Amino acid sequence: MKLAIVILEDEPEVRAALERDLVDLLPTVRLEPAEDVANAREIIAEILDDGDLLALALCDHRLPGTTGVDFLVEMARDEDTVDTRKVLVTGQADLEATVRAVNDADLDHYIAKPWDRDELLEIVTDQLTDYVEIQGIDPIHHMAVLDQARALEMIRSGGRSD
Amino acid sequence: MAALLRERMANRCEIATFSSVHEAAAAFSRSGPMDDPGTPAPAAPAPAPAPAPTVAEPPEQSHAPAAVAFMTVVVGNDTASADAMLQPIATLPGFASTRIMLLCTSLDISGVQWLTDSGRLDWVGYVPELQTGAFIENIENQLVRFRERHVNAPPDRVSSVFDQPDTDVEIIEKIQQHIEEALGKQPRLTVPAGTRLTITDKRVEEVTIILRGSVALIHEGPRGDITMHEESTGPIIGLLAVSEGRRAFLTAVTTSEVTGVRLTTEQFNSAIAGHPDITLLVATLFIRSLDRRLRRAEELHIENAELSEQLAIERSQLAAEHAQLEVALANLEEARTELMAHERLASLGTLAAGMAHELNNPMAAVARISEHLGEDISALLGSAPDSKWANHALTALHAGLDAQSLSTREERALRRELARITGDESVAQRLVLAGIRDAGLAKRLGRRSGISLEGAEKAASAGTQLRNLRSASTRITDLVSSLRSYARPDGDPVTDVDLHQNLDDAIRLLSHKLGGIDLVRKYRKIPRIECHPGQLAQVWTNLLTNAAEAIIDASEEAGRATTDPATPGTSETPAPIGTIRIRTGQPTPGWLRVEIADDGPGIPEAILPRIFEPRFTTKSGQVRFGMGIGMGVARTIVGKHHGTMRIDTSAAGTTIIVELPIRTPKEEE
Repeated sequence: MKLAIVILEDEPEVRAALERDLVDLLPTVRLEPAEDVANAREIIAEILDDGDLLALALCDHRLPGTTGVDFLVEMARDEDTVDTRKVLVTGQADLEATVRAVNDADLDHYIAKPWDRDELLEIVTDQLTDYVEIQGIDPIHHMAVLDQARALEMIRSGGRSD
Repeated sequence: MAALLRERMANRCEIATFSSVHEAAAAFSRSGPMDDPGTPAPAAPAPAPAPAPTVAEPPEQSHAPAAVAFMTVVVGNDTASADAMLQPIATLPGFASTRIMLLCTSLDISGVQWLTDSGRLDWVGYVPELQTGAFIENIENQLVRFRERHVNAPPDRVSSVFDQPDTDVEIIEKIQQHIEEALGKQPRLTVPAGTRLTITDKRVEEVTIILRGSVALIHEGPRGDITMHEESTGPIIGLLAVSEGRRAFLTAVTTSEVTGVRLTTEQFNSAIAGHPDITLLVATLFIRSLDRRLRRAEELHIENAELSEQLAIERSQLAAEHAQLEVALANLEEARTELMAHERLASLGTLAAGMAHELNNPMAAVARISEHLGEDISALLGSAPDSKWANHALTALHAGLDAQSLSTREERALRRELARITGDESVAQRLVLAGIRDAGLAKRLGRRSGISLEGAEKAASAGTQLRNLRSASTRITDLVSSLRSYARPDGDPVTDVDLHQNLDDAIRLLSHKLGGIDLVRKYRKIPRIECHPGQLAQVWTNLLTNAAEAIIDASEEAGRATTDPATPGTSETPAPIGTIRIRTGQPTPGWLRVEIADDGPGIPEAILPRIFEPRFTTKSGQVRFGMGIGMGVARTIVGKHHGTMRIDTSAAGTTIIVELPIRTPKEEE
C-alpha cells in the first residue's frame, strides 16, 4: 500500500522535469505522470484498483480542452478522490479560476511556474504528511517521504493513544 | 366729351375718338405708335354708346401721331369693366406711358384691380359732377406727367401745402421768430448731454424747441434702455404728448449739449393764436418728424422680420448641426474606444517586440550552451580510462539524446516491460525517465558491462535533459520569433510578407487558447504580400480568439448540460471540442483571401449588426470587452490595408472572410 502522486501536465518537457524532481521519492511513493485528463482518470482508477492511496495530485491549469481547476473540482466531488491533497502547478491561472479552485476544489496549495526543486519537494513532503495525518495512516511505512519531525510526533502520540 | 376736348385741347394735341376699345386698339396697332419721345399722340377709346375717346398730339408736329398721351374711358354699371377694356390696349407697345383717366357714370366702380395694381390708374372722376375747368386742368397735369415719363424730363415740382422748401433748422428759426414776435424774447436754455427732457409715463406740460444739439428718444424697458430714435428725433420735443395732453411715451435724453427754448403748453398755444402761420410750420415739422419716425419704425420692422427669418434659418441650421455633432460625438466615442484598444494592443505589440529582441541574446546563449554541454559531457564520458565503460556510457547518453517523446500511456507500458527485465519498478521508472526506450538496451546495460545500471541511467538522463533543454529552448526561440511579427505595428508597410508565416505566428502564440480544438490549415500557394505584418497578426489573433471562444463557450455549455459529473476512466484520447479551419487562396488576381471558420454555434442574427461595437457583450450575460473590440480592431486594420472583411454565420458555425490586396495602395494622408 503505497502513497501515490499523480502529475497532470500536458507538456512533455515540463512533465519530465516534475517527475525528475520527484524521482528520488521512489520507491516509497508511486509516481504517475499523466498527459491529459482522460489519462489521469485511467491512472487514478488503476491506483485505486491496486489498493494504493492517491495522496496527492499535482495539476497544471492550462490543459487541452479543459483546465486543471475543472479536473480538481471533479476530483473533489468524487468520494474516491475527495481526500486527495490537491495542488495547482501553473504558469497562468486567472483570479477567477484560482478562486474556484480554492472554493470548489478545496485547493491545498498553489505552485507558480517556474518552481524551485527544493521548494517543490518541501511542499510535496508537507502535503503527504498532511494526508497521512488526516487519514490517520500509520506513517511508519512512509517515513522517507514525510516531514520527519511531524511524522515522529504522530508516531509518538499515536503510540500513546493506542 | 370729344367736343369739349377738341375745343379746349386741340391747340395742344390731336384728338381721336373711338366708339369701342377694339376700334382704338385696331387703329393704333395699324399705324403703330411712334417711339419718338418728343411727339406724344394719345388716344382715348371708349365703349360704343359712350362719348369721347381722345387722342392728342402737339399741333406743331401734327404730321403723325407719335405716342398716346392719355386716354379717357367712360365706365359705368352698363359698360364692360375698365380692366377688361384697357388691359389689352395699355399693354401694347407705345402705351407704356399713356395716362389713363376714368370717367365714371356710377359712384361704385369695380373691375379696376389690374389698373390699380399695375399703377396705371392715373385719374378718376364722377361724370355727373365733373367741373369742366378743373377737368381740363387735370388733363393738362396728366399731359405734363406724360411728358415727364415719356421723355424722362425732370418732373416739375408739384408742391403740397406741407411741402416747405426750408430745412428743419430754417423752419425752427421761423417758428422761433414767430413765437418771439407773439410772446417777446425767450431765453435760450443750454443743457449738457444726458439731460432728460421728457420722461416715460410722466405728464408732459412743456415743449422744448431744439435750436442746436441732438436728442435721443429712449424706451426704458425692464431689460434696459433701447434707443428708439436719434437721427429721427424731431426738433420739437414733447409736441406729440402735449398735443394730445397725455403722458410721454418715450424718454427724451440729450445726446449732446443742447440749446433750446422751453415753452409751456399755454405759451405755445397763445403763440399759435397770435401767429397762425406757426401751425403750418409746426405741422410741417410734425409730419417730417413723424415720417422719419415712421420710416425708422418701418425699417426696424423690416429688420426685425429679416432678423427673425435669419434667426429661424440659423436655428434650423443649429439643430441640424447639433444632430450632426451628436452623430459625430457617438462616432468619436466609438473611435476613441477602438483607438484605445488599438493603442493598447500596439503598445503591447511594441513591448512584446522589445521583449523578443531582448530575449534573443540569452536564448541564443541557451541554445549554444545545450550544444556545448552535450559535447563536453560526450567528451568527458568518452575519455574514461575504461573504454568498455565509456562505450556503454556514450550509448546510454545517445539513447537519452535521441529518445522519442512518448505518451504517458506508452511510458507506462515501457515501464512494465523494463520492470520485468530489471526486476525493480523504481529502476524501470528511472530508466524510462532517463530516456531508455529500448528493452534490449536495458538488458545489455543490465548485464555486467563495466557500467552500473545506475551509471547508465545517469548518462541516459543527461542525454534526455539535454534533449529537453534543446526542445524547450527551440520552443522559446520560436515563440520569440513569432512575437517579432507583432513588432512595427505602425510605420511603413513591409513588402514580401509570407501570409502563412504570419498566420502561423499568431497560431503559435495562441496555442494555449487553442488547446482541445482541432486546427485544420489549408494553405494554397499564394504570392507574398505588402502589409503591416504586426497589424495583420493582430487581426488573426483576434479572429482566432473569437473562433476559439465560440467553440469553448459552446463546449462548456454542452458539458454542463450533459456530462456533469464527469465519468472518470471512460474516454480514451479526448475528442477535439471543435474545429477551426483556416484556408487561404487567391480569389482574383492581385488579392488574397483568408477564411477562418469555426464550427461553434454561430452568431445570433439579432446581435450580428452590433458585432463591431466596442462595448458589445456576449458571454452568458457577462460584460465582455473582448469580442467587439477584437472585431472592431480587426475591421479597422483590414480597412487600413484597403481590404474587406465579411462575416458568414449560421447555426453550423461562423466564417470570417478577409480579402487583402497584394499591394497596399499608397495612403493619401
